This record gives sequence, structure tokens and C-alpha cells, in this order.
Amino acid sequence: MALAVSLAVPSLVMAHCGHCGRCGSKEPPVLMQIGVTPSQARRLLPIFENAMRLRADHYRKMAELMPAMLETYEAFRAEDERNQGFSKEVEQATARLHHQEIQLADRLGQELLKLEEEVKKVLSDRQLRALAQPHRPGPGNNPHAMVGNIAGGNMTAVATAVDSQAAETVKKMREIGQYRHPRATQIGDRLLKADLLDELHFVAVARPSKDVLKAVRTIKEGTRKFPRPKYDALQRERGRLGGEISAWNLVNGLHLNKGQAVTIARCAQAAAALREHFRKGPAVEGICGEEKLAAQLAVAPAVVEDLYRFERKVIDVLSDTQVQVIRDFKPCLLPPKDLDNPVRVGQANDNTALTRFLTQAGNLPSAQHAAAVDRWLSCEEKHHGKYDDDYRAHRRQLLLGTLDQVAQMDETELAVHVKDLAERAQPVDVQTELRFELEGIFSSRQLPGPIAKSMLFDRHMVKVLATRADQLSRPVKLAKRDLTKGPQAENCDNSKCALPGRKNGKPTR
Amino acid sequence: MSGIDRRELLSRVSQLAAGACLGGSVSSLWPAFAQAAGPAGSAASREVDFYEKLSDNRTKCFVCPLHCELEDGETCFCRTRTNYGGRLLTDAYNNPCIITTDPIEKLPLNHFLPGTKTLTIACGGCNMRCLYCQNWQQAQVCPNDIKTFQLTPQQAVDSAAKRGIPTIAFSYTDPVGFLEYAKDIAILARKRRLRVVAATGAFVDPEPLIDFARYVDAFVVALKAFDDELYHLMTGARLEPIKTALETIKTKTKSWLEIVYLVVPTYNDDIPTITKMCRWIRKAVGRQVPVHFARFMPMYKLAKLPRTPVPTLEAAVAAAREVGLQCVYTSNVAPHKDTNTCCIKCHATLIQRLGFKLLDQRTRNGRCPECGTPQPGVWT
Repeated sequence: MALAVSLAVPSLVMAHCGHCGRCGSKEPPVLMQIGVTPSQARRLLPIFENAMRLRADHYRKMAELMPAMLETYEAFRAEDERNQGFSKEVEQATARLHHQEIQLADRLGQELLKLEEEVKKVLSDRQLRALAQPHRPGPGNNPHAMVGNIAGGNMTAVATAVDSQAAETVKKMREIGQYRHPRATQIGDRLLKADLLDELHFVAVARPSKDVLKAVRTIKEGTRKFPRPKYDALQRERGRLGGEISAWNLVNGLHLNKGQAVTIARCAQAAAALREHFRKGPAVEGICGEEKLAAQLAVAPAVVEDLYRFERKVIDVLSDTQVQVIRDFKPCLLPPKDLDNPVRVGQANDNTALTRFLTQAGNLPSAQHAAAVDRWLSCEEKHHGKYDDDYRAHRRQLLLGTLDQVAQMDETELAVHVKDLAERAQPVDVQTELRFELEGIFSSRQLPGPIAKSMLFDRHMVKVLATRADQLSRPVKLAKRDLTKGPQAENCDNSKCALPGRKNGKPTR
Repeated sequence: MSGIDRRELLSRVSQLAAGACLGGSVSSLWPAFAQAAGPAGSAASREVDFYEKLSDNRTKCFVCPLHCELEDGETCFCRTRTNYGGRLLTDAYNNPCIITTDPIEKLPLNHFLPGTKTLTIACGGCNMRCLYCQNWQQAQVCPNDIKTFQLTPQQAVDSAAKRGIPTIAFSYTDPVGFLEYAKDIAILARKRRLRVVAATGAFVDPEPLIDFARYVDAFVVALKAFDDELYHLMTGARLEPIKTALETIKTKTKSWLEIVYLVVPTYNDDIPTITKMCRWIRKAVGRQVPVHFARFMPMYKLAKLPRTPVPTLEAAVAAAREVGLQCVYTSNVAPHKDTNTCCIKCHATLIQRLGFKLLDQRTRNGRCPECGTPQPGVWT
């Protein structure tokens, strides 16, 4: 047994680093790193097998969804680029597929998190702490990562490295994100992955079952219909489409003029060139490794300063309201209603979800109010993140009080008051508060902030802005309509003004 | 019993019973009954102010230029006025389908108490048939055919006053359709020192318009095209009466006026025609009347048209400014620089808007803080 370990372990070390399998690090395999014993490994086996089944199942379902998804998203992207509104079919299909995609990912995340709980029962606290340690330390301790993050435009990582408050804010934001869309943590990512099959079974001194081998093969090689390379290519394409659509959503919502589009595109190009130049490092013969890194780090503050200056330039080009829109923008596949189809002048039916809830729940018998409020609060938490007990109790009280008020009103009174009541019962938008907090830190440290993130560091933005500038230079000429052929408004030219089908104010049929 | 529901049956029985008790025909009973309890199930009704009684229980309405002639029991083209036994009564009275609070910018009014709220009221029905009607669920039905509220003029005014809302607005559907109700609310509102504003297509005769305008502080008139044939094709109405109404508001009333023009691609987006319209606006109602060029969204019977391209709106704005109009806006586009209010003299930004939200307001008693020029509008 001891011999087997001594022979096998070096080959495992050479095969992968025990973390990502791609980074080329020569670290020991993860189970050895955290000191998993054979008995622990045996207890981990069923958990691992379940995880593999889940991941394989997710792969198959995503593979089924992928072709339709790409086709629909491409149609959506094309309509987004034209900026003349979305056709109902494409918009609905995109929304449906995107919803399915998110649901699949959320379900996998939830199940993996449950399995992680099982893992926690098997491993000791020390092992769990070791597992939660990032494979590569954060950028604050790692100059490589710092250079990479500046070059990649990941200023949030740069901020968290240099500012502990920023790190705390980002942590809170991630917690909200994790609550809204649960995903596996370090434990799931490092222990419950297909690459660990050999190592785990080796330590457990067990043979993998046929089922688990099949599942791992599906994860690693794909299915016959959808081999992994094809899936990965489509996944990359989906990522590209998602990114480009998001950029279009923002640009369409900004209503840029040609001058703005051209100037921002130029800034984005210059910022990209600067970051690329920084990433490559000084082109001095013989300089490499630590020497090159030291040279990069020496110029890093100047690069960040230049990027910050580019961001100021973009802000100067935009109006205050456009800046506001960019600050509020979150990357998305379906554009937010406020940007895509805002409430129009003279448009009726502009009720929010909360006004609808108050109107509907207010009509319920008061005994059912508490249950309705609890359901509503669960929905709210899906958007705003998990409330702490005090805040949940406060909101519950507030909504129950509001529903009591609603119940005492007649329909007319309610119609007049409901918008005010809803406004008063709005929850605190913690995500927005955290975002503002982070922006304050960016600003105080003169780091490029949200405008740079959206307009300068988005890899699709230059192409999108160039296309928009081109579109604006040759506006679409819509063909003159032959008005005799289209629909015509009803009129009473023939002097028969009386409304047909009515008698004494009532329909006759 | 086929074809008659329970409600209908009860209604018929009650009519027959009343007729039998009073020894008259059912139709002759209607007006008296209507005054107390309202026709066709509405809470109460009111006789129309502008109509003529003709022979054989026929009536002729003079509220709008259609001048509908109705037989007994027939309803006007506007869906809201019905001839009950030779008397023309409104079915919209006390019978609104929408009561809500809104920012005043939603009407759209950019030069009238910016940043304040309105209590907005609308009743079912309309005397136009716009192909792109965005509130067709309310405007293209009779007041009694949709869910409504019971709200007397007194209750409407009390409600606004109690909640400190400075303005009552009639919008979403055309107040020409419920002019009698709107007027009674406006009269009471005036007594309580509340402001009244009306968003209308202005397809109305001058006499009722002047009568109503005595109690109205501001009008938003939707001018829908500047070609009579096109107007008729798009809305069923005619251009000339609307031009007359605009001139009437300007010359014969003290009400503030803003104009909104929905730019519908391939219909009324021809820039030379828009220029012609702006010239007429400048000449007939003055260059300080704010004009809003609103973006069209596919809607109702024009659901297959594209949205108005923003450059088209910008071209319309440029044309209006070229002609000399001083307060020109884009609507339904946010963010856009042309949604802001700028000084008519030094062009400093006075009010910054994002949609209907005011982000910044710098006017001081209606004057520009930079150059002190008084700005057109109602500011305090």
C-alpha cells in the first residue's frame, strides 16, 4: 500500500495541481494537501458520486438546451443591434430559455451546496479551512494576480487587495449574489469535480462504480451527440453572445449620439491598448520572470492613473443622466424595462409589483395576510438577498400594518392611495447601498469605477460602439407607407355616429 | 332564458315594475330614474351641457365636431353619452375607471409646477379611434363595460386636498369623453384652490371647450398629424377642429398650454411636414408653447411598426428649434438631453430629468438663476 502511494502520487502531482488542472502549478493534489485519510475518503465517495451524477445530468440538460439557446440569443442580439424593439416571439423565447438556463444552474448550485454540507460532516475544521484557502492567494499578496487584474480591467479585485473596507463590501455583495443564485463554493469546486475521481478512489482504496465512471466520462468527454469540445465551443459562443447582448442593452439604453459613440470607442480602444501593453510588460531583451514582474509593478500605479483619466474623459462626454444610467446598469441578457420600454407619457397601468401585491393581498381575509406577507418576503429576498432576523421582522410588521390599512379602505380610496402606500413600504435596496459604498472607495482611491467597467473594460464595447456610430452616420430610411393599404381608423363620415350594438347604454348582443 | 343573464333579467324586471307602478312606458321613465341612480347601472348621471333635443326623442350632441344625432336609446361615437328617452346623459359621470397619483411630467407637462404630483382621473371612452391608442383597454370601451370606481366630484376634490396633492389631472382617456364630470370636478377644485389640468386630443367644439377651460389651469393637447387626410386615417378625427381648439385655448382662455406630438414612423414622421406644423404653432399659439416629440412604441393596431428611431425625434426637435420654437422636448426617451428644460435665453440647464424623475431643478421663482430671464410656464 505504502509503495503504491509513493509511486502513484508523483504521477498525480505531474498530472494536475489539484485545483484548476490548467494552471500548471506543481502543488500536491488537493486530498493530500488537506490530509484526507482513507476512511474519510471512503465516506466522501458517495457524496462525490452524487455530485458527479448531478454534474453529468446538468451537462446533458444544458447540451439539449444549447442549440436552441444559441439560435434564439443570436436572433435577440441581431434585434438588439437594430435597436427597433424586439419581436414578441424572439423576446419571449429568449426570456424562456434564459430562465431555463438560470434554473438549471441554480438547481445544480443548490444540490451541490447540500452535498457540501455532507462534506463538512466528514472533514475536520482544519481541513475545511485549508480547503477554503484560495489556491492562489489574493492579489494583495500576489503580484502576478495584481498585474493580471489591472491588465484584465478587474478593478474590484484591485480595490479589495488594497482596501479592507472594499473587501468587506465585496464580500457582502457576493453573499447576496450567492443567496440569489446559489453556486458551489470552494469546497464543491475543489472536492466535487470530475478530476478528483482517480485521486479520491486511490486514497479510499476503492474502485469507482460503473455509474460514476459513466458520469465522469459524460462530464469530461461529453455525450455522443454532444462531445465536450463541441459543447465547450458552444458555451464560449453563448458567453460571447451574452456579453455582446449586455453591451447592446446598455448602449441602446443610453441613446448615445454619434460623437459620443466615436469618442467613447476611441477611449475604450486606447484603454485596451494600454492594458495590453502593460500585460506584455517591458520589451527589454533578457528581462523575464521576477524582473519583468517588478518592472510591471513599478508602472502599475501610472497605468491605473491613466485608466482613471480615460474614465474621466468618458464621463465628460456623457450627460449626467447617462452616467446615472451606467452606474445603475447590471449586465443582463434581457434589458431592464426602464431602459428598453420605459413608462410612456399618458400610459395607464404602470403599477409596480408591490402595488399589485398590496391591492391583491388587501382583498384577502385578514387571517391570510400573514401567509401572504411571508410569501412576498421570500420573493423579496430572492431579489435583495437574505434579510437578517431583525430586518425581516421589521418588514413583516410594516407590510402587515400596510395590509391592515388597505383592508380598511374601499376600492376607490385604495386606488388613490396605493402608490403612496407602496412607496412607503419599499424595502431598503442593500445591493444599491453596497454598490454606492464601493463606488465611494473607488473614487477616493482614484481607481477606475463603474463607468470604466462598462464602457472601457467590456471586451464587446469597442465593436458595439463602432457599429452604433456607423448606424448613426447612416440613419435607417423607412420606406414611405402606402396609407391606403394599412389599417384605417374607424370614423363616422357617413353620419351614422351612433355606436352599433348598443341600446340604452347596454350591449344588445 | 337563453341570451339573458341573471343581472339582465333583474334589471328588466325592475324596469317593468317601475313602469307598471307609475303607469308610463319604460323609456319615458329613464331620465328621471337616471338622474337619481344613473343609467345602465352607473351610480348617478348627469345631462350633457351641449346638445339639442330634436323631434321623436332624437338628440344632437354639440360637445365634439362629430355632432352625433341619436335615436332614443342610442349611444354617441364617443361611447359615453346616450340618448335616454330624448335626453342626452353621460354614462361616465361618477364612473371613473382610473384614479391614481402621477408625477405631473407624465401628462406631459414640463412647464407647469414641475416635480409635483397630480391626482389623475380617467373614464372609459373616447371620441377618437387612434390606431396606436396606448390605453385602448380603457379608451376604446364604454364606461359601463369595464371595472370602475364610484367617485363623486366632491370625493375626488376632497381626496386630492386631504393628501396635499396640488393638482387634479384628466388624462389616459380624453376628457372630452367625460367633459361633464371633469367640469364638475374642476369647478369644485377651483373652490378648494386646487389646480386642474387636462390632457386631450382637443377634438372638441369651441363652445364647450371655452366653458370647460374657465376652470382648467393647463391643457396638454395631443396633435397627432399635420395633414387632414392622415389625421382622419390615423384617428378618425379631422385636423381643422383641433387647430381651432389650439387657437381657442391660446386666444380665448387663460390656461397654460403644451403640445405633444407622437412621432409614428412612416405615418407622421415626415420632417418637412413637421417643420410646417411648427411654423403654424409658432404663428398660431406662440413660440414659447412647449412642444414634446414623443417616441412611438408598437401598440394596438400598429403593433407591427418599429419604434421611432431616436435620430428621427432629434431631427423633429432640430426642425422645431430651427423654426424658432423655444421649448422643445423629446418624450418616452430616457436618458436624453432634450428631456431637460433649458433657459430660453442663455440655454443653461434649469431642470434635469430622467424619465419623469427630476434630478435637479434650478429655477428660482420661474427665472433662470444664470441670467434671470423669466421662463414661460407656471412655476409656483
